[in-house]
Amino acid sequence: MALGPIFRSTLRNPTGAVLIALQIALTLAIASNTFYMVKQRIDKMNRDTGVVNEELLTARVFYFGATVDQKAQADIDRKTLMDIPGVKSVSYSNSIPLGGSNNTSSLCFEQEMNDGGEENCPHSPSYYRSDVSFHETMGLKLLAGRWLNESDAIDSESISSTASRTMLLSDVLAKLYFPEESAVGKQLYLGGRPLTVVGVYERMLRPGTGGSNPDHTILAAEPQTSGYLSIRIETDRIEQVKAELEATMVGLNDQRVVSVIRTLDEVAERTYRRDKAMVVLLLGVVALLLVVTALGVAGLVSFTVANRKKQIGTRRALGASKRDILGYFMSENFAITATALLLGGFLAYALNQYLLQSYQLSRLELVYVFIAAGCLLFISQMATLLPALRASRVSPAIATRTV
Amino acid sequence: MLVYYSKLAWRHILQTPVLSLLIVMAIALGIGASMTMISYYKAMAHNPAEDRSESLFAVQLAAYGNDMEEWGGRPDGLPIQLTHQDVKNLREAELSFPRSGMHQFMTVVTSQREGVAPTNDYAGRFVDRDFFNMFDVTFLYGEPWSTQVDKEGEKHAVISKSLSEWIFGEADSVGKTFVMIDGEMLFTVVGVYEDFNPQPAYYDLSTSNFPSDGPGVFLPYSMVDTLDQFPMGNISGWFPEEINTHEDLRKSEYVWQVFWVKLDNEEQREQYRNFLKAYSEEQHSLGRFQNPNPRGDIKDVATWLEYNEVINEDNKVMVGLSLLFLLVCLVNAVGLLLAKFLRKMNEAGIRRALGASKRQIFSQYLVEVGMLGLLGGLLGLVLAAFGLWAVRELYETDIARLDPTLFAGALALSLFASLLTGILPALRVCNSNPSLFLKAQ
Repeated sequence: MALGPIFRSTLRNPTGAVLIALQIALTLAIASNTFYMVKQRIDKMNRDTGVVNEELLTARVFYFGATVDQKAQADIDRKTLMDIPGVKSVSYSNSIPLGGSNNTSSLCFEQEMNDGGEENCPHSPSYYRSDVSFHETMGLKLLAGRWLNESDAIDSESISSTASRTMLLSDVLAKLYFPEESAVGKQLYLGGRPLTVVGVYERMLRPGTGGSNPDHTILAAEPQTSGYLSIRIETDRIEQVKAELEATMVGLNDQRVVSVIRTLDEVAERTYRRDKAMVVLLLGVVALLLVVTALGVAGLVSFTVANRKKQIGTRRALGASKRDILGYFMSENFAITATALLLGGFLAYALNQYLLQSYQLSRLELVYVFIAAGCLLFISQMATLLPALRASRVSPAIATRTV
Repeated sequence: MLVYYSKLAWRHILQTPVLSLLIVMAIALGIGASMTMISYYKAMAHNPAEDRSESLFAVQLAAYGNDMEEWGGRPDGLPIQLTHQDVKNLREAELSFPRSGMHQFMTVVTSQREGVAPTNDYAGRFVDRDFFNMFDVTFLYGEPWSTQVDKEGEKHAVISKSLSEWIFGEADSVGKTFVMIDGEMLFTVVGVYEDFNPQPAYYDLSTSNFPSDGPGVFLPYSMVDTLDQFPMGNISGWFPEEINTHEDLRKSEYVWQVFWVKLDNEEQREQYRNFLKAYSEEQHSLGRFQNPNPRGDIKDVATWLEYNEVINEDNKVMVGLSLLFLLVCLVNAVGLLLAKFLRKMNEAGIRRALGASKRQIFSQYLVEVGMLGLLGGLLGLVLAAFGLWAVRELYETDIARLDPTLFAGALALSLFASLLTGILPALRVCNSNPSLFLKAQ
């Protein structure tokens, strides 16, 4: 296929070509950035929580009776719930992964927090306080050291600032604080209190959406009696336990309200609602954009075809085959689209630069530009096919009718 | 003339139904998407304080240590909340401006209706009596507690109509008592208000910007010291403090409360700024506020909403994206209009040969373009209504509604955009050489 005549004829009447190119370039810039944003959101929603999502049921327990012995009640709750078929483990904790309430605190090398600032206290992990069965309920994986046991447990009502404690770190955090050696046995300061690291677990996400360091968590044994109740149940029993939980708990003690009863999957769904909404909206706009672009290309090629009917007829009369005509329009579109995609690549990069500066988005990976470009090339060629086929059917006799 | 052009235009539109439909759809999709996102954005950017916006001020203090230049992650390094000590001092200052300290707490209320279990669905909030006037709470029955109660504290409560109905089974419950806090305290209802949930919840942006329910019960702030209710919301500290009791929290340097003051003119503002400056310096000399620059600030509602970034990034990105989408749709419309008008070039040629001026042909085609634009705009509004429904479903929010003021804006925008895009194709048509087309017949 000779490209020369194609170029010359395109240049002679460039309006259509320019419009197609502009539209495709803009579409590429928008689509590649959007694909990238969608990918980031999906990665966020799919990240490993570190816990056994599908087996967890959670609820908030809030006492209003002033005279309740909450500690004794927590033991009764545990015993009663463990007797329900399918229940594997029960814990009370201050917060749950992806859930509502979040306690964070600076974790420091030295006791005096005002010394050294960033260097002394580089990170602020989320702090899970719970009974010693929490790791079992959550299904955490131990990488080093040991789990918490009864001797680590400190009653949360008798906290004093000098009490020595123990804790477990998430793997990410352990490596950040002790890159060269094992964290087990080391001492760190949490809000000015010394804590000895007794173990390292693989991961457990922070409460809420997790921010930029969702893996920064620590776990300490401070039995809670209210707050979040987590129950690990065989997945197929979870709905049944969920339906009866409020009645069971209030039946045991009516001086409390048991609310927000949700499986961890439901908790996750609520936490990621904004991200999911964003993904749906972004994909919706891109889908519409591609449809509009396809229709636009088809419309403009029809326009060109209609414009050149006489020339097509003349070429056919001079011996060009239908295939030649089809090939001509397909190659013309290919050339225009390719040029537009090159321009669009720069536009995509410029748009990404703008997004980088204005919002906390990361640098566009080139692969998304290529994916979007591939999609567009395909769509553009498909949209050209129909009008090009129509062009190839132009009768050579047209050439004789005019002039 | 316009009527005749409109008739002609309508006939043309019907003659090329597919192309016309594509053009209308392209405009409609662009308008629909951008109107959806702009409406949602506008709803989030809404300033619910309206005409009170410029006289209500949130108070901030640089209540933190000496080794920190700033704290709280805001551009001016001031935390958005205050310590209990400071709110107490600000309330007791000898100034006559209406003001209110506040914080939210979780509470369990007991119903007096048969067979209804206690609930913690209704959030409680400690405020001063000025709050009701400052934040425009509408009383249905009764009135706020007295200034005396603001000073000395009393178990008075102002409850929402919903809560009144939930507890007593009736809206007017003034003078009645109900059980709350530890399942044993009796509070007397002194007022019942129309359910109050301004969006965004500008009176306290430290918890949720767009809560699905507003406060159910207000208690006098003067009761904070005696009721020992831990806050439901953010508590932040800049150095470690061990908190075991409510008293520990009250005496701590943790920030967990909000304070508002009403200042009607610049003179009062200046007076309050000077007061805050003097107060910060006093606290500095007392050993608190040890950062190098002890200071305070007041921000009006509009500034406060922006400062707290009530509109999140996602919304801004979506508005930008939808406008780019509109741009692509318009580029697309230009192309389709060119194609459409080209088919009608013969007719234009005949009309020119019969004596129509270029100007007449041009204006006739602009009328046609304008009609397509208006049709696209109207269809776009329908699409926007659908888009906003989708936004409401996706975000489970109620605030995304089609704004009537955007109605005219959308139509004007689509008309303007279509005329702009129509100029090039219309010029092409009217500049065509009539003889060429006549010959081609």
